[in-house]
Amino acid sequence: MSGPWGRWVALCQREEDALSVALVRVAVGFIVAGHVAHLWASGALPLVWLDADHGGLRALDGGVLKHLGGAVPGVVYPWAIATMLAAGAMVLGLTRWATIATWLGFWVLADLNGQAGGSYDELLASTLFLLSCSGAHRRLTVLSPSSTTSLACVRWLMVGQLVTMYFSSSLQKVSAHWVPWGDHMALWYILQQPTWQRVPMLWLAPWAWATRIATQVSWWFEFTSPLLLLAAWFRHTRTRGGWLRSQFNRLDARALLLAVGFGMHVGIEATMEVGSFSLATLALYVACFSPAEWRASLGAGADARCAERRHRRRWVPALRATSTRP
Amino acid sequence: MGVRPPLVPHLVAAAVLWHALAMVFDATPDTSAGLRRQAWKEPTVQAEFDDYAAMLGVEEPVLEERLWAFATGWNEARSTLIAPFRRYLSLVHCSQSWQMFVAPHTTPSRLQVQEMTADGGWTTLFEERDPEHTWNASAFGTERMRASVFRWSWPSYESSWKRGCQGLATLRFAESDTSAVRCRFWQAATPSPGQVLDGSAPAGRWIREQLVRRPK
Repeated sequence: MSGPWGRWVALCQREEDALSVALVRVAVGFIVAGHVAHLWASGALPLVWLDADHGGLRALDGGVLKHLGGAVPGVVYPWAIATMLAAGAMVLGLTRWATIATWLGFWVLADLNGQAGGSYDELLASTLFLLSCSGAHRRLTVLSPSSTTSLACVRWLMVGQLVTMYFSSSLQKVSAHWVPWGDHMALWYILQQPTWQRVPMLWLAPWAWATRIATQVSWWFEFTSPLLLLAAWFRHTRTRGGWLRSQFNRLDARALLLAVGFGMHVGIEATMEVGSFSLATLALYVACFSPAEWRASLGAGADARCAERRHRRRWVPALRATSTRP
Repeated sequence: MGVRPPLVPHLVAAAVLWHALAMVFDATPDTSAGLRRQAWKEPTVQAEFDDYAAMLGVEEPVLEERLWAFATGWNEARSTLIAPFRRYLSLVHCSQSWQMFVAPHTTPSRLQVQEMTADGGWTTLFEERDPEHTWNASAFGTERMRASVFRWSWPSYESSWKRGCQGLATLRFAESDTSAVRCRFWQAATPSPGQVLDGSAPAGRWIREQLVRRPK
Protein backbone atom coordinates (compact mmCIF):
# COMPACT_ATOMS: atom_id res chain seq x y z
CA MET A 1 0.00 0.00 0.00
CA SER A 2 1.21 3.48 -0.77
CA GLY A 3 -0.14 7.01 -0.87
CA PRO A 4 -1.76 8.93 2.00
CA TRP A 5 -4.46 6.33 2.67
CA GLY A 6 -1.95 3.50 2.65
CA ARG A 7 0.26 5.35 5.12
CA TRP A 8 -2.77 6.08 7.30
CA VAL A 9 -3.80 2.42 7.29
CA ALA A 10 -0.26 1.42 8.21
CA LEU A 11 -0.16 4.00 11.01
CA CYS A 12 -3.44 2.75 12.44
CA GLN A 13 -2.17 -0.84 12.42
CA ARG A 14 0.80 -0.13 14.65
CA GLU A 15 0.69 -1.96 17.93
CA GLU A 16 2.50 -1.06 21.12
CA ASP A 17 2.77 -2.35 24.66
CA ALA A 18 -0.60 -1.68 26.32
CA LEU A 19 0.99 -0.29 29.49
CA SER A 20 0.06 3.39 28.91
CA VAL A 21 -3.60 2.70 28.17
CA ALA A 22 -3.70 0.15 31.01
CA LEU A 23 -2.60 2.88 33.40
CA VAL A 24 -5.37 5.11 32.04
CA ARG A 25 -7.78 2.20 32.55
CA VAL A 26 -6.78 1.73 36.19
CA ALA A 27 -7.06 5.46 36.89
CA VAL A 28 -10.46 5.81 35.20
CA GLY A 29 -11.76 2.70 36.99
CA PHE A 30 -10.85 4.21 40.35
CA ILE A 31 -12.34 7.58 39.35
CA VAL A 32 -15.71 6.11 38.28
CA ALA A 33 -16.00 3.82 41.31
CA GLY A 34 -14.94 6.62 43.63
CA HIS A 35 -17.33 9.10 42.04
CA VAL A 36 -20.40 6.90 42.41
CA ALA A 37 -19.38 5.82 45.91
CA HIS A 38 -18.87 9.44 46.98
CA LEU A 39 -22.23 10.45 45.58
CA TRP A 40 -23.85 7.60 47.47
CA ALA A 41 -22.03 8.25 50.75
CA SER A 42 -22.81 11.98 50.67
CA GLY A 43 -26.52 11.33 50.30
CA ALA A 44 -26.70 13.10 46.95
CA LEU A 45 -27.34 10.01 44.82
CA PRO A 46 -31.12 9.82 45.44
CA LEU A 47 -31.45 13.60 45.10
CA VAL A 48 -29.92 13.71 41.62
CA TRP A 49 -30.62 10.29 40.12
CA LEU A 50 -34.07 9.38 41.48
CA ASP A 51 -37.32 10.69 40.09
CA ALA A 52 -39.07 13.39 42.12
CA ASP A 53 -41.79 10.93 43.14
CA HIS A 54 -39.15 8.69 44.71
CA GLY A 55 -37.00 11.12 46.66
CA GLY A 56 -35.31 13.04 43.86
CA LEU A 57 -35.46 16.75 43.18
CA ARG A 58 -36.51 16.63 39.54
CA ALA A 59 -38.96 14.73 37.37
CA LEU A 60 -36.80 12.22 35.48
CA ASP A 61 -37.94 10.02 32.62
CA GLY A 62 -35.33 7.40 33.49
CA GLY A 63 -33.52 7.43 30.16
CA VAL A 64 -32.45 3.90 29.27
CA LEU A 65 -33.53 2.73 32.71
CA LYS A 66 -37.19 3.41 31.92
CA HIS A 67 -37.17 0.00 30.23
CA LEU A 68 -36.29 -1.51 33.61
CA GLY A 69 -38.76 0.53 35.64
CA GLY A 70 -37.37 4.09 35.51
CA ALA A 71 -35.41 6.25 37.94
CA VAL A 72 -36.71 4.45 41.00
CA PRO A 73 -34.70 3.11 43.95
CA GLY A 74 -35.17 -0.53 42.94
CA VAL A 75 -33.47 0.16 39.63
CA VAL A 76 -31.02 3.01 40.22
CA TYR A 77 -29.36 1.60 43.34
CA PRO A 78 -28.61 -1.84 41.83
CA TRP A 79 -27.41 -0.10 38.66
CA ALA A 80 -25.07 2.12 40.67
CA ILE A 81 -23.74 -0.94 42.55
CA ALA A 82 -23.23 -2.79 39.27
CA THR A 83 -21.37 0.21 37.84
CA MET A 84 -19.05 0.35 40.85
CA LEU A 85 -18.42 -3.39 40.61
CA ALA A 86 -17.73 -3.10 36.89
CA ALA A 87 -15.32 -0.24 37.58
CA GLY A 88 -13.60 -2.41 40.19
CA ALA A 89 -13.34 -5.24 37.68
CA MET A 90 -11.96 -2.75 35.19
CA VAL A 91 -9.24 -1.73 37.64
CA LEU A 92 -8.29 -5.40 37.96
CA GLY A 93 -8.26 -5.77 34.19
CA LEU A 94 -10.95 -8.45 34.06
CA THR A 95 -11.27 -8.48 30.27
CA ARG A 96 -12.53 -5.82 27.89
CA TRP A 97 -16.09 -6.53 29.04
CA ALA A 98 -15.44 -4.92 32.41
CA THR A 99 -14.52 -1.68 30.64
CA ILE A 100 -17.53 -1.91 28.35
CA ALA A 101 -19.80 -2.54 31.35
CA THR A 102 -18.32 0.47 33.17
CA TRP A 103 -18.82 2.65 30.10
CA LEU A 104 -22.44 1.50 29.82
CA GLY A 105 -23.11 1.78 33.53
CA PHE A 106 -21.63 5.23 33.83
CA TRP A 107 -23.27 6.96 30.90
CA VAL A 108 -26.66 5.50 31.79
CA LEU A 109 -26.34 7.02 35.27
CA ALA A 110 -24.94 10.32 33.99
CA ASP A 111 -27.76 10.60 31.44
CA LEU A 112 -30.44 10.27 34.10
CA ASN A 113 -30.34 13.94 35.00
CA GLY A 114 -28.93 16.34 32.45
CA GLN A 115 -29.14 19.23 34.90
CA ALA A 116 -26.93 17.50 37.48
CA GLY A 117 -23.80 16.83 35.54
CA GLY A 118 -20.68 18.37 34.23
CA SER A 119 -18.12 18.10 31.49
CA TYR A 120 -16.50 15.21 33.35
CA ASP A 121 -19.48 13.05 32.37
CA GLU A 122 -18.66 13.48 28.70
CA LEU A 123 -14.93 13.19 29.28
CA LEU A 124 -15.25 9.96 31.27
CA ALA A 125 -17.75 8.45 28.82
CA SER A 126 -15.48 9.29 25.88
CA THR A 127 -12.41 7.91 27.64
CA LEU A 128 -14.24 4.73 28.63
CA PHE A 129 -15.33 4.23 25.04
CA LEU A 130 -11.76 4.58 23.79
CA LEU A 131 -10.52 2.24 26.52
CA SER A 132 -13.14 -0.29 25.41
CA CYS A 133 -11.66 -0.15 21.91
CA SER A 134 -8.09 -0.53 23.15
CA GLY A 135 -6.08 -3.40 24.53
CA ALA A 136 -5.94 -1.71 27.93
CA HIS A 137 -7.21 -4.86 29.65
CA ARG A 138 -4.12 -6.80 28.54
CA ARG A 139 -1.69 -5.18 30.97
CA LEU A 140 -1.77 -4.62 34.73
CA THR A 141 -4.29 -7.41 34.90
CA VAL A 142 -4.86 -10.29 37.26
CA LEU A 143 -5.57 -12.48 34.24
CA SER A 144 -3.05 -13.91 31.80
CA PRO A 145 -3.92 -12.50 28.40
CA SER A 146 -2.40 -14.06 25.31
CA SER A 147 -1.31 -10.63 24.08
CA THR A 148 -0.02 -7.57 25.90
CA THR A 149 -0.33 -5.07 23.06
CA SER A 150 -2.82 -2.43 22.02
CA LEU A 151 -3.35 -0.40 18.87
CA ALA A 152 -1.21 2.71 19.31
CA CYS A 153 -3.79 4.84 17.46
CA VAL A 154 -6.25 4.49 20.36
CA ARG A 155 -3.74 6.04 22.73
CA TRP A 156 -3.27 8.86 20.24
CA LEU A 157 -7.03 9.34 20.08
CA MET A 158 -6.91 9.83 23.85
CA VAL A 159 -4.27 12.52 23.43
CA GLY A 160 -6.46 14.02 20.70
CA GLN A 161 -9.46 13.92 23.05
CA LEU A 162 -7.51 15.83 25.67
CA VAL A 163 -6.38 18.47 23.22
CA THR A 164 -9.82 18.77 21.62
CA MET A 165 -11.38 19.40 25.01
CA TYR A 166 -8.89 22.09 25.98
CA PHE A 167 -8.93 23.87 22.63
CA SER A 168 -12.71 23.79 22.25
CA SER A 169 -13.04 25.12 25.78
CA SER A 170 -10.74 28.04 25.01
CA LEU A 171 -12.71 28.95 21.88
CA GLN A 172 -15.82 29.25 24.03
CA LYS A 173 -14.22 31.37 26.74
CA VAL A 174 -15.20 34.56 24.93
CA SER A 175 -16.16 36.58 27.99
CA ALA A 176 -14.42 39.94 28.24
CA HIS A 177 -13.08 38.66 31.56
CA TRP A 178 -11.22 35.76 29.90
CA VAL A 179 -9.81 36.95 26.61
CA PRO A 180 -6.31 38.49 26.33
CA TRP A 181 -7.81 41.86 25.33
CA GLY A 182 -10.13 41.87 28.36
CA ASP A 183 -9.63 42.64 32.04
CA HIS A 184 -8.38 39.11 32.98
CA MET A 185 -10.78 38.97 35.93
CA ALA A 186 -12.46 35.66 35.02
CA LEU A 187 -10.88 33.57 37.76
CA TRP A 188 -11.49 36.25 40.38
CA TYR A 189 -15.22 36.10 39.60
CA ILE A 190 -15.33 32.31 39.26
CA LEU A 191 -13.60 31.82 42.59
CA GLN A 192 -16.19 34.08 44.26
CA GLN A 193 -19.10 32.06 42.92
CA PRO A 194 -20.78 30.05 45.70
CA THR A 195 -21.69 27.31 43.24
CA TRP A 196 -18.12 26.25 42.56
CA GLN A 197 -15.93 27.54 45.38
CA ARG A 198 -14.85 25.17 48.14
CA VAL A 199 -14.75 27.97 50.70
CA PRO A 200 -15.45 31.72 50.48
CA MET A 201 -12.54 33.33 48.63
CA LEU A 202 -12.83 37.07 49.31
CA TRP A 203 -9.56 36.77 51.25
CA LEU A 204 -7.87 36.64 47.85
CA ALA A 205 -8.50 40.36 47.29
CA PRO A 206 -4.97 41.54 48.17
CA TRP A 207 -3.61 38.95 45.73
CA ALA A 208 -6.12 39.55 42.94
CA TRP A 209 -3.16 40.08 40.59
CA ALA A 210 -2.45 36.35 40.97
CA THR A 211 -5.92 35.47 39.70
CA ARG A 212 -5.29 37.74 36.69
CA ILE A 213 -2.09 35.87 35.89
CA ALA A 214 -3.82 32.52 36.42
CA THR A 215 -6.62 33.63 34.09
CA GLN A 216 -4.16 34.38 31.34
CA VAL A 217 -2.13 31.22 31.88
CA SER A 218 -5.30 29.09 31.80
CA TRP A 219 -6.65 30.72 28.62
CA TRP A 220 -3.35 30.59 26.77
CA PHE A 221 -2.68 27.03 27.89
CA GLU A 222 -6.02 25.88 26.52
CA PHE A 223 -5.79 27.99 23.37
CA THR A 224 -2.34 26.65 22.49
CA SER A 225 -3.17 23.08 23.52
CA PRO A 226 -2.89 21.75 19.92
CA LEU A 227 0.84 22.25 20.50
CA LEU A 228 0.59 19.44 23.03
CA LEU A 229 -0.44 16.99 20.32
CA LEU A 230 2.40 18.24 18.14
CA ALA A 231 4.89 18.06 21.02
CA ALA A 232 3.79 14.53 21.92
CA TRP A 233 4.18 13.45 18.30
CA PHE A 234 7.59 15.09 18.02
CA ARG A 235 8.63 13.33 21.21
CA HIS A 236 7.39 10.04 19.82
CA THR A 237 9.35 10.57 16.59
CA ARG A 238 12.36 12.30 18.12
CA THR A 239 14.85 10.20 16.17
CA ARG A 240 13.67 11.84 12.96
CA GLY A 241 15.30 15.02 11.80
CA GLY A 242 13.93 18.53 11.39
CA TRP A 243 14.58 21.88 13.02
CA LEU A 244 11.11 22.25 14.58
CA ARG A 245 11.18 18.74 16.03
CA SER A 246 14.57 19.29 17.59
CA GLN A 247 13.42 22.61 19.09
CA PHE A 248 10.38 20.93 20.65
CA ASN A 249 12.52 18.13 22.05
CA ARG A 250 15.34 20.33 23.31
CA LEU A 251 13.45 20.94 26.57
CA ASP A 252 10.71 18.31 26.13
CA ALA A 253 7.91 20.76 25.26
CA ARG A 254 5.36 18.04 25.93
CA ALA A 255 6.45 17.65 29.57
CA LEU A 256 6.50 21.44 30.02
CA LEU A 257 2.97 21.82 28.64
CA LEU A 258 1.70 18.97 30.79
CA ALA A 259 3.38 20.50 33.84
CA VAL A 260 1.47 23.76 33.24
CA GLY A 261 -1.76 21.80 32.84
CA PHE A 262 -1.05 19.78 35.96
CA GLY A 263 -0.52 22.97 37.93
CA MET A 264 -3.79 24.36 36.59
CA HIS A 265 -5.71 21.27 37.69
CA VAL A 266 -4.08 21.26 41.12
CA GLY A 267 -5.23 24.88 41.49
CA ILE A 268 -8.75 23.95 40.40
CA GLU A 269 -8.91 21.03 42.84
CA ALA A 270 -7.58 23.13 45.70
CA THR A 271 -10.10 25.94 45.28
CA MET A 272 -13.15 24.58 43.50
CA GLU A 273 -15.55 21.64 43.61
CA VAL A 274 -15.92 20.48 40.03
CA GLY A 275 -16.44 16.78 40.62
CA SER A 276 -14.16 14.35 38.88
CA PHE A 277 -13.18 16.76 36.14
CA SER A 278 -9.55 17.31 37.08
CA LEU A 279 -8.91 13.65 37.86
CA ALA A 280 -10.58 12.53 34.62
CA THR A 281 -8.45 15.01 32.70
CA LEU A 282 -5.23 14.06 34.44
CA ALA A 283 -5.96 10.39 33.68
CA LEU A 284 -5.60 11.31 30.01
CA TYR A 285 -2.21 12.91 30.72
CA VAL A 286 -1.01 9.34 31.28
CA ALA A 287 -1.69 8.58 27.61
CA CYS A 288 0.71 11.35 26.57
CA PHE A 289 3.64 9.18 27.61
CA SER A 290 4.68 6.10 25.65
CA PRO A 291 4.73 2.63 27.19
CA ALA A 292 8.52 2.69 27.04
CA GLU A 293 8.61 5.89 29.08
CA TRP A 294 6.25 4.40 31.66
CA ARG A 295 8.34 1.23 31.85
CA ALA A 296 11.45 3.27 32.38
CA SER A 297 9.91 5.30 35.19
CA LEU A 298 7.83 2.59 36.89
CA GLY A 299 9.37 -0.75 36.07
CA ALA A 300 12.54 -0.89 38.11
CA GLY A 301 11.07 0.62 41.26
CA ALA A 302 7.97 -1.52 41.13
CA ASP A 303 10.05 -4.65 40.63
CA ALA A 304 12.23 -3.95 43.62
CA ARG A 305 9.30 -3.24 45.92
CA CYS A 306 7.37 -6.30 44.97
CA ALA A 307 10.08 -8.87 44.33
CA GLU A 308 9.08 -10.90 47.37
CA ARG A 309 5.50 -11.13 46.20
CA ARG A 310 6.20 -12.12 42.63
CA HIS A 311 5.04 -15.68 43.05
CA ARG A 312 1.65 -14.46 44.21
CA ARG A 313 1.03 -11.29 42.21
CA ARG A 314 0.79 -10.97 38.48
CA TRP A 315 0.80 -7.22 37.97
CA VAL A 316 4.43 -6.49 38.64
CA PRO A 317 5.90 -9.55 36.91
CA ALA A 318 3.81 -8.55 33.93
CA LEU A 319 5.40 -5.12 34.14
CA ARG A 320 8.85 -6.63 34.39
CA ALA A 321 8.32 -9.12 31.63
CA THR A 322 7.71 -6.38 29.13
CA SER A 323 10.52 -4.19 30.40
CA THR A 324 12.92 -6.09 28.19
CA ARG A 325 10.80 -5.76 25.10
CA PRO A 326 11.96 -3.47 22.31
CA MET B 1 -3.43 -14.85 16.83
CA GLY B 2 -5.02 -15.48 13.47
CA VAL B 3 -4.16 -13.57 10.31
CA ARG B 4 -6.42 -10.58 9.81
CA PRO B 5 -8.51 -10.44 6.67
CA PRO B 6 -7.14 -7.76 4.31
CA LEU B 7 -10.23 -5.58 4.79
CA VAL B 8 -9.82 -5.23 8.56
CA PRO B 9 -6.88 -2.76 8.51
CA HIS B 10 -8.87 -0.48 6.21
CA LEU B 11 -11.92 -0.67 8.45
CA VAL B 12 -9.81 0.14 11.51
CA ALA B 13 -8.21 3.09 9.73
CA ALA B 14 -11.61 4.34 8.57
CA ALA B 15 -13.04 4.00 12.08
CA VAL B 16 -10.15 5.93 13.63
CA LEU B 17 -10.51 8.70 11.04
CA TRP B 18 -14.26 8.80 11.53
CA HIS B 19 -13.94 9.07 15.31
CA ALA B 20 -11.30 11.78 15.06
CA LEU B 21 -13.38 13.84 12.64
CA ALA B 22 -16.53 13.40 14.73
CA MET B 23 -14.63 14.49 17.81
CA VAL B 24 -13.17 17.60 16.19
CA PHE B 25 -16.34 18.74 14.38
CA ASP B 26 -18.58 18.18 17.39
CA ALA B 27 -16.16 20.18 19.53
CA THR B 28 -16.77 23.32 17.48
CA PRO B 29 -18.57 25.81 19.72
CA ASP B 30 -22.27 25.10 20.03
CA THR B 31 -24.17 28.31 20.72
CA SER B 32 -27.65 26.75 20.79
CA ALA B 33 -27.74 26.47 24.58
CA GLY B 34 -27.17 30.20 24.92
CA LEU B 35 -29.61 31.28 22.22
CA ARG B 36 -32.38 32.34 24.57
CA ARG B 37 -33.46 35.97 24.63
CA GLN B 38 -34.54 35.57 28.24
CA ALA B 39 -31.07 34.42 29.28
CA TRP B 40 -29.50 37.33 27.39
CA LYS B 41 -31.34 39.74 29.68
CA GLU B 42 -29.58 38.39 32.78
CA PRO B 43 -27.30 40.98 34.44
CA THR B 44 -24.16 38.93 33.87
CA VAL B 45 -24.88 38.54 30.15
CA GLN B 46 -25.86 42.19 29.79
CA ALA B 47 -22.62 43.21 31.48
CA GLU B 48 -20.68 41.16 28.91
CA PHE B 49 -22.53 42.89 26.07
CA ASP B 50 -21.80 46.26 27.64
CA ASP B 51 -18.09 45.46 27.94
CA TYR B 52 -17.81 44.33 24.33
CA ALA B 53 -19.96 47.20 23.01
CA ALA B 54 -17.65 49.67 24.74
CA MET B 55 -14.59 47.82 23.45
CA LEU B 56 -15.86 47.78 19.87
CA GLY B 57 -17.44 51.24 19.95
CA VAL B 58 -20.97 50.16 19.00
CA GLU B 59 -24.33 50.51 20.70
CA GLU B 60 -25.18 47.57 22.93
CA PRO B 61 -28.54 46.73 21.23
CA VAL B 62 -26.85 46.78 17.82
CA LEU B 63 -24.10 44.44 19.01
CA GLU B 64 -26.70 42.15 20.59
CA GLU B 65 -28.66 41.87 17.33
CA ARG B 66 -25.51 41.23 15.29
CA LEU B 67 -24.40 38.54 17.72
CA TRP B 68 -27.83 36.93 17.62
CA ALA B 69 -27.71 36.79 13.82
CA PHE B 70 -24.13 35.46 13.83
CA ALA B 71 -24.84 32.81 16.46
CA THR B 72 -27.96 31.66 14.63
CA GLY B 73 -26.10 31.38 11.33
CA TRP B 74 -23.15 29.66 12.98
CA ASN B 75 -25.44 27.09 14.54
CA GLU B 76 -27.07 26.30 11.22
CA ALA B 77 -23.68 25.79 9.58
CA ARG B 78 -22.46 23.70 12.50
CA SER B 79 -25.57 21.52 12.44
CA THR B 80 -24.91 20.75 8.77
CA LEU B 81 -21.27 19.95 9.51
CA ILE B 82 -21.93 17.50 12.33
CA ALA B 83 -25.13 15.96 10.92
CA PRO B 84 -23.32 12.86 9.54
CA PHE B 85 -21.67 12.24 12.91
CA ARG B 86 -24.60 12.92 15.22
CA ARG B 87 -25.97 9.40 15.31
CA TYR B 88 -22.53 7.89 15.86
CA LEU B 89 -21.65 10.29 18.68
CA SER B 90 -24.95 9.63 20.35
CA LEU B 91 -24.47 5.88 20.05
CA VAL B 92 -20.98 5.80 21.54
CA HIS B 93 -21.67 8.62 24.02
CA CYS B 94 -18.69 10.67 22.92
CA SER B 95 -20.33 14.05 22.44
CA GLN B 96 -17.96 16.99 22.75
CA SER B 97 -19.62 19.86 24.53
CA TRP B 98 -16.86 21.73 26.30
CA GLN B 99 -18.63 24.83 27.54
CA MET B 100 -16.69 25.26 30.73
CA PHE B 101 -16.87 28.60 32.53
CA VAL B 102 -17.42 30.40 29.23
CA ALA B 103 -18.34 33.56 31.12
CA PRO B 104 -17.97 34.03 34.86
CA HIS B 105 -21.20 34.81 36.68
CA THR B 106 -20.65 38.32 38.03
CA THR B 107 -23.98 38.43 39.87
CA PRO B 108 -24.04 34.95 41.39
CA SER B 109 -26.81 33.58 43.55
CA ARG B 110 -26.58 31.76 46.85
CA LEU B 111 -29.24 29.20 47.80
CA GLN B 112 -30.88 29.48 51.19
CA VAL B 113 -33.36 26.99 52.66
CA GLN B 114 -35.42 27.93 55.73
CA GLU B 115 -38.17 26.37 57.80
CA MET B 116 -41.01 28.08 59.60
CA THR B 117 -40.75 28.18 63.38
CA ALA B 118 -43.69 27.67 65.74
CA ASP B 119 -44.09 31.44 66.16
CA GLY B 120 -44.29 32.04 62.42
CA GLY B 121 -40.70 33.19 62.03
CA TRP B 122 -38.00 31.59 59.90
CA THR B 123 -34.89 29.70 60.82
CA THR B 124 -32.18 29.02 58.28
CA LEU B 125 -31.36 25.38 57.61
CA PHE B 126 -28.93 25.65 54.75
CA GLU B 127 -27.07 28.38 52.97
CA GLU B 128 -24.47 27.70 50.32
CA ARG B 129 -20.90 27.82 51.66
CA ASP B 130 -22.13 28.96 55.07
CA PRO B 131 -20.42 26.89 57.81
CA GLU B 132 -23.22 27.65 60.30
CA HIS B 133 -26.20 26.45 58.25
CA THR B 134 -25.28 23.01 57.05
CA TRP B 135 -28.47 20.97 56.70
CA ASN B 136 -27.65 18.20 54.17
CA ALA B 137 -24.49 20.14 53.28
CA SER B 138 -22.53 17.02 52.34
CA ALA B 139 -25.12 16.10 49.72
CA PHE B 140 -25.69 19.67 48.53
CA GLY B 141 -21.92 20.19 48.34
CA THR B 142 -21.37 17.50 45.70
CA GLU B 143 -20.71 18.77 42.21
CA ARG B 144 -23.86 17.24 40.76
CA MET B 145 -26.06 19.03 43.32
CA ARG B 146 -24.13 22.26 42.80
CA ALA B 147 -24.78 21.99 39.06
CA SER B 148 -28.51 21.63 39.72
CA VAL B 149 -28.64 24.49 42.19
CA PHE B 150 -26.69 26.71 39.78
CA ARG B 151 -29.34 26.16 37.11
CA TRP B 152 -32.24 26.76 39.52
CA SER B 153 -31.21 30.38 39.93
CA TRP B 154 -31.73 31.10 36.22
CA PRO B 155 -35.21 32.15 34.98
CA SER B 156 -35.14 29.57 32.20
CA TYR B 157 -35.09 26.77 34.79
CA GLU B 158 -38.22 27.97 36.60
CA SER B 159 -40.03 24.62 36.52
CA SER B 160 -36.95 22.73 37.77
CA TRP B 161 -36.58 25.27 40.56
CA LYS B 162 -40.18 24.82 41.70
CA ARG B 163 -39.82 21.02 41.68
CA GLY B 164 -36.46 21.28 43.41
CA CYS B 165 -37.77 23.40 46.25
CA GLN B 166 -40.74 21.05 46.57
CA GLY B 167 -38.26 18.17 46.90
CA LEU B 168 -36.20 20.00 49.53
CA ALA B 169 -39.39 20.72 51.50
CA THR B 170 -40.44 17.06 51.29
CA LEU B 171 -37.03 16.08 52.68
CA ARG B 172 -37.48 18.49 55.58
CA PHE B 173 -41.09 17.55 56.30
CA ALA B 174 -39.95 13.95 56.73
CA GLU B 175 -37.64 14.90 59.59
CA SER B 176 -39.30 17.91 61.20
CA ASP B 177 -42.75 19.12 62.33
CA THR B 178 -42.35 22.45 60.58
CA SER B 179 -45.40 23.72 58.72
CA ALA B 180 -43.57 25.35 55.82
CA VAL B 181 -40.24 25.52 54.02
CA ARG B 182 -38.95 28.52 52.14
CA CYS B 183 -36.27 28.41 49.45
CA ARG B 184 -34.73 31.48 47.85
CA PHE B 185 -31.55 32.90 46.39
CA TRP B 186 -29.49 35.84 47.55
CA GLN B 187 -28.24 37.54 44.42
CA ALA B 188 -25.51 40.15 44.60
CA ALA B 189 -22.84 41.44 42.27
CA THR B 190 -19.41 40.04 43.07
CA PRO B 191 -17.33 42.83 44.58
CA SER B 192 -14.14 43.82 42.84
CA PRO B 193 -10.90 43.28 44.78
CA GLY B 194 -10.86 47.04 45.46
CA GLN B 195 -14.37 46.96 46.89
CA VAL B 196 -13.42 44.05 49.15
CA LEU B 197 -10.40 45.94 50.44
CA ASP B 198 -12.31 49.15 51.19
CA GLY B 199 -15.32 47.27 52.56
CA SER B 200 -17.88 48.61 50.09
CA ALA B 201 -19.72 45.41 49.13
CA PRO B 202 -22.39 45.81 46.44
CA ALA B 203 -26.02 45.55 47.55
CA GLY B 204 -27.93 42.34 46.91
CA ARG B 205 -31.51 41.12 46.92
CA TRP B 206 -33.54 37.99 47.50
CA ILE B 207 -34.86 36.42 44.31
CA ARG B 208 -36.92 33.44 43.19
CA GLU B 209 -38.56 32.84 46.55
CA GLN B 210 -40.60 29.64 46.87
CA LEU B 211 -42.83 28.75 49.80
CA VAL B 212 -43.93 25.16 50.29
CA ARG B 213 -46.51 24.37 52.98
CA ARG B 214 -46.82 20.97 54.59
CA PRO B 215 -49.54 18.98 52.84
CA LYS B 216 -52.67 18.62 54.97
